[in-house]
Amino acid sequence: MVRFKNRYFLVGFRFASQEESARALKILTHKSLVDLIRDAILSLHGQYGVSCVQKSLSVKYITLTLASPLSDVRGTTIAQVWAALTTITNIQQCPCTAQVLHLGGTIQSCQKFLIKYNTQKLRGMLRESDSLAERKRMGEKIKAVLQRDSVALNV
Amino acid sequence: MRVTMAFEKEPDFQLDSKQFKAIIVHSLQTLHGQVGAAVPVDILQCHSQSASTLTSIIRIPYHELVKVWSALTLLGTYNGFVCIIKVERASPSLLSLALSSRAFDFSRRTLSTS
Repeated sequence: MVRFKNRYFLVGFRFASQEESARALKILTHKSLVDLIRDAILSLHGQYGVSCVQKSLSVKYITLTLASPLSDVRGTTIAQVWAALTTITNIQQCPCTAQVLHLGGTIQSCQKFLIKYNTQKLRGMLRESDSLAERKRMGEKIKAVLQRDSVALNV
Repeated sequence: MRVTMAFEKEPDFQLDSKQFKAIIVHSLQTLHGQVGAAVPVDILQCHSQSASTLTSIIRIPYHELVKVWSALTLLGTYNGFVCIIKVERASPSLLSLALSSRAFDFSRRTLSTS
């Protein structure tokens, strides 16, 4: 039997500076992000691309730390959306680059990946930190985050 | 592909091969975006019957046939002028565009207008 499948993109937006990131996150909404992605698809794939995607495109979450929206899109148009997402170069006149971090079949799989990804980033920052006090502080924060996230997702 | 283009009213630009190429690229960009506009289209022959009609033979890659055909068919206006593009025949060989066995009258052994 034919099964109805969704695909969820985990996208990370990287800005030039923290101020621009904070400014963009303040004014970013679900609707504005959907319009941004739709404009990117319209530019790259035209009216045909937009019509393939319009019905099922939506933004589920925008996190505060990384601005990682998840888009719900049907399987047949994955390549079109992925290519369009990578062509996004600015959000509300703030220059940025969009990187597709993960493509999953459920929101939970994207969240699990995000936890692993952030943990790796934190461990990288821990390795690069200079002073002992800073290392200790970061180590405690990482432990607290891991405990909290493992409880939340039953990992 | 042999295509025919016709405008409802006479446009304010000259309808020649360069303009027709621009129209084809515009139609591809509208329907299929930058990916469509990058399709290589060659105009092999172009003949203007009048200031508002044109017949042309164009060459496109085989796997882009659906994109080009759909883009040409769905073009309704260009620069504010209502137009229509009709694909008369699509074939992998030029000889079949020059002649068609359907246009041949076997009883009289003559070629009717194709």
